[in-house]
Amino acid sequence: MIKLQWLIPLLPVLSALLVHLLAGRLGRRVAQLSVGMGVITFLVALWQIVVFITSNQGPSWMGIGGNWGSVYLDPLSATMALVVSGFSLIVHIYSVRYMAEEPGYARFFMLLDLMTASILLFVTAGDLITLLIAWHLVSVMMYFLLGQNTESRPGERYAFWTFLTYRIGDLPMVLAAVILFQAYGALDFPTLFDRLMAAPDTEVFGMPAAITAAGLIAVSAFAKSAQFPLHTWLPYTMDGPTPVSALMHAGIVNAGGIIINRFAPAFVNAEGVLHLLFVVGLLTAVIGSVLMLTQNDIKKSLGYSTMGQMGFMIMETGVGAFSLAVFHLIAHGMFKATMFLSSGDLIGDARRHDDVPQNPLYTFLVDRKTGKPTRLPWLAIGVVTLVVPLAILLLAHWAVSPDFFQKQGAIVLLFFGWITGVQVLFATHRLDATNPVRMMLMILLSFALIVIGYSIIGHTFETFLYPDAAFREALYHAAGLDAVTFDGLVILLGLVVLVGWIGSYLASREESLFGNRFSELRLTLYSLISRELYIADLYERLSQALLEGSKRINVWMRWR
Amino acid sequence: MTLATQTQQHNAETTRATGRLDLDHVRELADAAGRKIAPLWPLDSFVAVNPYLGLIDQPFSEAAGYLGAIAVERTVMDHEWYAQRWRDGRLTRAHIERAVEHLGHPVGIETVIKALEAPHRSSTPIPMLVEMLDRPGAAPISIFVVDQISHFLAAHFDRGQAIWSAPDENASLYTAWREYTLIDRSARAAGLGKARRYLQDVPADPIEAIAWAIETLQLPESVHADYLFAALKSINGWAAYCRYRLWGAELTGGSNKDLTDLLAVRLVWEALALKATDSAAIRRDWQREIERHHEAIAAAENEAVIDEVMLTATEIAFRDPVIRHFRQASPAAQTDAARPPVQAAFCIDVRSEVFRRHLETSFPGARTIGFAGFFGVPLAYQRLGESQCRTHTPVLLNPGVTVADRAEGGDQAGQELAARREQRIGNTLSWKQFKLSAASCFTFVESAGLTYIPKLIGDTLGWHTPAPPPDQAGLSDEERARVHPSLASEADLEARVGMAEGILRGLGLTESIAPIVLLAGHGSTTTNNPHRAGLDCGACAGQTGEVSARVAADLLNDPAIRDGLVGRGIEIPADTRFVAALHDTTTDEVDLLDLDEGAVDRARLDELRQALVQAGDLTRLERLVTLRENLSDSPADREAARKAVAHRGRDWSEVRPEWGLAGNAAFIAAPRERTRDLDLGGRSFLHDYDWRQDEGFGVLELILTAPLVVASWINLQYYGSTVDNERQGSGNKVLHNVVGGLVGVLEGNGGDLRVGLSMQSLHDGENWRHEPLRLSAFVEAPAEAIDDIIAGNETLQHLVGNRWLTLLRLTDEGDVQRRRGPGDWVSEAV
Repeated sequence: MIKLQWLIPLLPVLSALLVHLLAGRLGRRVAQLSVGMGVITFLVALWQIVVFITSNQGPSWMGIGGNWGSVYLDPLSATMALVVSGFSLIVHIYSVRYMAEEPGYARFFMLLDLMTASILLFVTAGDLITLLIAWHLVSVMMYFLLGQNTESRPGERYAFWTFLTYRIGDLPMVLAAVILFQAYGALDFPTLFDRLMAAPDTEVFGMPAAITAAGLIAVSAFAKSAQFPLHTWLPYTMDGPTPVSALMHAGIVNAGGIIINRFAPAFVNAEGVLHLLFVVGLLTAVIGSVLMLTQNDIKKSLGYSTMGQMGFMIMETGVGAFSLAVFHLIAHGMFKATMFLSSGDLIGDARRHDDVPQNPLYTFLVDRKTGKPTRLPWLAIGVVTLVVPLAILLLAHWAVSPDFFQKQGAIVLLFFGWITGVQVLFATHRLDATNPVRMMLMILLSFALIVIGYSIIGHTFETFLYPDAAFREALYHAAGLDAVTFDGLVILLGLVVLVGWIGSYLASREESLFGNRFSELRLTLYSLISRELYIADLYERLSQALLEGSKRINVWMRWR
Repeated sequence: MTLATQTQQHNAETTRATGRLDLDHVRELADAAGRKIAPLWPLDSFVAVNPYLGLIDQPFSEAAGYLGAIAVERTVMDHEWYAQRWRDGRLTRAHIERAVEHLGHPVGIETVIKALEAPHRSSTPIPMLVEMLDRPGAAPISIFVVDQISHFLAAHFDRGQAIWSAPDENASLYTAWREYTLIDRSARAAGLGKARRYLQDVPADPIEAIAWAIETLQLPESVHADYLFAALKSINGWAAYCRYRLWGAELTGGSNKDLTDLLAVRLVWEALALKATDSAAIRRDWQREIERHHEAIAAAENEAVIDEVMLTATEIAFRDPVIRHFRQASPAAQTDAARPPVQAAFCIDVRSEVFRRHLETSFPGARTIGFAGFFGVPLAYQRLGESQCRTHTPVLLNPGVTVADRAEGGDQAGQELAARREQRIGNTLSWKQFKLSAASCFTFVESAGLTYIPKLIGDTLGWHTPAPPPDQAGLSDEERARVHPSLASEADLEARVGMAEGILRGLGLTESIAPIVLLAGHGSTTTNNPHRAGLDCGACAGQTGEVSARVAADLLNDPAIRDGLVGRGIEIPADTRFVAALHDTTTDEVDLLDLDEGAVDRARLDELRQALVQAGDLTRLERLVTLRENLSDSPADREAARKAVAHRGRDWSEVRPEWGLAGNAAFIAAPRERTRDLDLGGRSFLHDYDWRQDEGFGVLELILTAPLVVASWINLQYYGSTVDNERQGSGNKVLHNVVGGLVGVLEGNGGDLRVGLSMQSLHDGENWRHEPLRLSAFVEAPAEAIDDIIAGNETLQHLVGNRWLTLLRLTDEGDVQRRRGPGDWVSEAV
């Protein structure tokens, strides 16, 4: 079984080789070859996870000789191999026609295969060195794919940003590996994690090994998963062709979440780092979503939405919900890949929705102005919309696992679920339904179904990824905050949301309550957001300075 | 000096400066510059536009030289492209000799032949100041300026992408930009940190701001007009979009200032960049450069003269076989007077030519007719329950009548259906808002992300259905069948009879009207294609043509109207039925619409249906060869072809669903008998016209002033996008990024809005699919009639007189004559 695991990263490499060698002879048909190999890779990954679940044998590891150069088969690698090979296959099929007649068609498929191989090696790696190599290869392949269009100057510029951020992300990863090896003297994951769990407080160079390594890994994950302020490369990857964007947003950017899950044994012993993950993740989620609001082109808007989602994923790890983060990245991948691949369908969309008549719904949704006054009193609506979703959520989680409320992390997630619920009800309330009661009931019902289904899936997935109940408990425990901080946080979040709602309500009214006093403030805020907080400009200056600096060094050293 | 006193001093300076320039003069200059820009329609009504629209008052070579010198824009292919033809014998010495003779340019043939082998001399254009301020090692200022304007305009014109829109809805473009830029700090990264301070002193009125910029730049007066045009050209995409807004406003009698505002924005940046970088030395260099702009233009024109010879020679090479055919065929065979079993009218679109040819083979005896796809009904269409209309009329015209959806069972039923439709559309809209909203997207994605698996897999394998025609949104098939577009009651019987008469005379259907007359509009079915509207019917303003066909058929089937027509000398036989149809240009299937089976002869209808299927098969096979699928004519391959084109329409990763109008090169207005035996290879617009039946030449005037002009627009759009895809085309489709909801596309992360056609519509990866030739228009009509019409129409004078198209005449004796000037027709030697 574990031998087959080798096939997963090797098949795409073989495919890339064949594409390269046969490109001259097969011409455009190399694409079919590449897709065929993709199908086989996917089937192997599927076979592996099915066998893994049914055989119930637990994780296995296999190296080529020594204790490095190995693959690992555990729930995480089995799941991710399946997901990555699946996404890659879809992107392959899409590219067959989409990239047809592009210059460098065969080269594109070779790069796509090598990229797939790098990610697959990354998720199946069984030791520190293999992981580092794969982690590094992902960056390099990304640079080549984004620079596919070698004639485009802006393309080069933005590919350089990506390359730069990824390099920043690679360094801490190397340091973390060195520290872990120093501390525990093992390269392969099973031994390494066993020793780590046995002696979490080992120190290296006078520093606690687990915490330091976890911190470094976190920084590395921030760069790869576009966390604030290392995010700007992500929305600027649109100079690559659409399928590359899809692969990037559905697959590659998830690397941060995966690596954190891979090193969960280190994180479980690093409370402070978990809190850092939470804060950075939350910040990124909020900033990403806000920046998304003002984007005027579809691809960059999707880019910032990914940033927000990645923030949410990292935040989930920060509250100890490691498995949920993995679940999130899979679900988000499906969602975002669909969005990207169909991003040209706006005409189709417009023809479906075009020119809805002028009614309150239309004016609210399209003109974004307020509708007619509501029929039910605001208070009643408020109570219904705020209380009902909360009740459903509590009920759902209680039904699935009664001890849920002991996990603070769960409450944070509940909070987001609750916001969503409220949003649903607000949105539907705006609907000018002919039968509001029935409509409301239908929506509540579907909402309840989704929530319950989601909780069940979430819990099942958790027990699959982390079968050890004690370890799960420890994760949540480590992520816990003390009561005062936690309550403060919840209140703060609640206030933010409340202010947001009130703000959007007031903004949606024809006449501002405060007259024009705030219009300048509004414009300032808008320009700040629409300029992406000027972080892109910082990147620009940084890369200019770097290029200039390296040029100086060249001149100074008399290199040509 | 404090900031306040500084400001005062600047203001004083400004007043003094603008005092010197007459503001009315500036306004005229700005207006003139703007009118040289061609409009760009947004994606939902993406129609072809002549990219040289503003320059047709100049002869081709002059405009070419002008564009080359001012905007580095190419107006002919690379010399290498012509040299290739020369080497493989498609272009001969004789062609070139004749081209020189046609043009009357003082150029030696040897000069041209030598130039073929020489690389294109790149013209030295007049530089924009910001381009000269770019320094290696620093962020390029010229790119920053375009990006800043593009970024702001995308927000200003956003039609539904951003959730948080710019807080400037009611302000004019210039005012909004000024306010925004006063706050925007992004100029610092480009080294223009001081620009914001100077902007405070720039006049708040756009015309004054232009005057201020001209003064600040110390722009020599001789350069004013050209520099203003160059400034707009440097942000051509958005300028074209503003020009579209002006066009739309003027068509309805209004006015729009966006284009002037944009010019002000661009020029103010120019002046701000100068002040902020404080580079007097560069300004001196720049002034030296622009002062020699007349020389630059003259040099580029000389070059363009030689280029035009090459272009004309390739046109002659294309025309010769066609002319030879016309000569050989019997001159103007009299129309067969016998009543045909079927007449089928199609749009003049070049794609119809292929289908018509095959339909005639598949149904011997059937007559096909070419006519503009709106069938002469200039309508605006109001879908069920909607408050606004959508134009289905050529963009040159204003809609004259309203067509609204009516449901069976009266207003009550209509209102119910409308309410249901609104509900459904509203639900999908709010669902979309919900899943993308900032607060709910996280949990939504987590809980519902996996439900995207079926769509992802289904779309990848092409199980997806293309977007339904617009009027079907929100209604089930069964409900849709109960709704019918019908003319609003504002048109009384007399007006309707008039319209019906116009349609019939335009179609040349005044006698021997067949029992079945097919009126086929056309549309495309493609998926995930931002430029989809460009593949639909241009005569219906980028919409699909079925509404026009249905309305026309209804008019002509109405007994009351038929009675009225008798009084005007047209008698429609009682057994004649007009049948509306939709020709799907992606799949080449023809759907018959609103068919009342009882009213038509069953056997004949079946025969027609079979012929349509067979014609579709043949057309598909012919087309698929150009799409690189190798098929022969066997039943299995016919089936394969049917599947292949259907898959192309559904496949969300297909970037070349069909070739659209690529290859177009000729326009023929003559009876079908003239072209019947001629395989025009889908390169010709075919309009049926018989001058013997056209008393007073009213129909001829219509053909020359509307369909011919539109065909020339299409032709020049393909031409421009091919010869300079960088500036007149939209680049690579795989990088397209839809901006502002439906405004247009960017290529990649940003930059200017892109105009024109993508490479994927023109090039198959190895060769150009479109051969860039100016239109050759063949008209069978008396010379005097044509000359009279041209004399009365300025656009035609420009197009024909300035060589934007070549006009030829088929004589009754079977000769072909080329028009050299008013009253000057010369027999074309082949």
